[in-house]
Amino acid sequence: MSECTFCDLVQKKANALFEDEKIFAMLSPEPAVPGHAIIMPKQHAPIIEAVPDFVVGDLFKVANKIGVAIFESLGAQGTNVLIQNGQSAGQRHNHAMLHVIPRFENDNLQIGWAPKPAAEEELASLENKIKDETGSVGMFEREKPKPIETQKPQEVKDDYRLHALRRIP
Amino acid sequence: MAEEEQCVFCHIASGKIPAKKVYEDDKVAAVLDINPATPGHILLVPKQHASIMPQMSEEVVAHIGMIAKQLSHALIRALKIDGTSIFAANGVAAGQRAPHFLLHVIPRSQNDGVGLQPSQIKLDEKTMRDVFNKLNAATAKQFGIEPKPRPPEKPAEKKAPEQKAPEEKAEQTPEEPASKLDEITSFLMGGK
Repeated sequence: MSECTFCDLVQKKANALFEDEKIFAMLSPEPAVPGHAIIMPKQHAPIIEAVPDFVVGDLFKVANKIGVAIFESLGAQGTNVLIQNGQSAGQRHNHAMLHVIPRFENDNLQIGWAPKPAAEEELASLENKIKDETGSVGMFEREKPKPIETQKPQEVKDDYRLHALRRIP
Repeated sequence: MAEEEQCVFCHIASGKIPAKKVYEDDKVAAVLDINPATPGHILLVPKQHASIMPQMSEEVVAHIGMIAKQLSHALIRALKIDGTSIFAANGVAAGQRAPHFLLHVIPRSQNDGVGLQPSQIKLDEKTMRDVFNKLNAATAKQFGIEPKPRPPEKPAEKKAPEQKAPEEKAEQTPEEPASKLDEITSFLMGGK
């Protein structure tokens, strides 16, 4: 057991829908509706900022496929895709995850917000502030190619454990 | 295509309709929402028209997700906030209002009144198992892999219900093949 409930769930593979080297997808243990799926990086990361870009890309790819599966197998009329990034955004667990939530007409889920018109000057000042920080947006962290193993592991010749093993038969 | 000519967000993405663009590349434009949930609310608009996420190529889906992550970080630095919501609605039932797929990046603060906290329900074992079986098979199909059904929690107890499960499936398969995606899309496009 680790200190992270969701790392443990990845280990247990309970209700697993998909997994590969980097990603694990399962039915949410705290669903909003039946079929609510969560997609997580296997490598522990408390917030999405700590997840490498290429893994975030994979999270979305997997979310999209599971979203299609939700439409086709559960007869959903919609899906919500959601990342709660930080406590103020409602993040409840110390492991970054992406939610895909099946939606139906009259499902009584309250997901949304009341839009408020913004004044032109406010938008202009926000635009400038945000643009100051977007210089590196679009430069992605790529997955490093795995080192090719050229060297064979060194042979151990005179280890007492080997002597012991050789004696066994 | 006609629908794209009429799509406001296609025009915003291409620049025909002016907007406060905070980022742009060959696949996506990021603009400030003029009716934001909170100040600094960004809309990520794919340049290639798509009504919902499943219509987008894998490459664009991954790209837009990575850009959302980076813009979220830019918002946190620029606005000195401590959280963001990255959100998309596919379909009117999910709260989608525009006929063009949008990924929202919304600056968050405590008690800001934005309702992006789904409620939780407790599911009984049978519902959980049924939904798992259906979704697991459909997910495997999407990935082109063999489904590996995993019993939810207590594998030992399930000998009796196990027999039922395939039966139910057989009953339901006939109604399932028709994809609802086209219907959902056409509703979005034709709506208003």
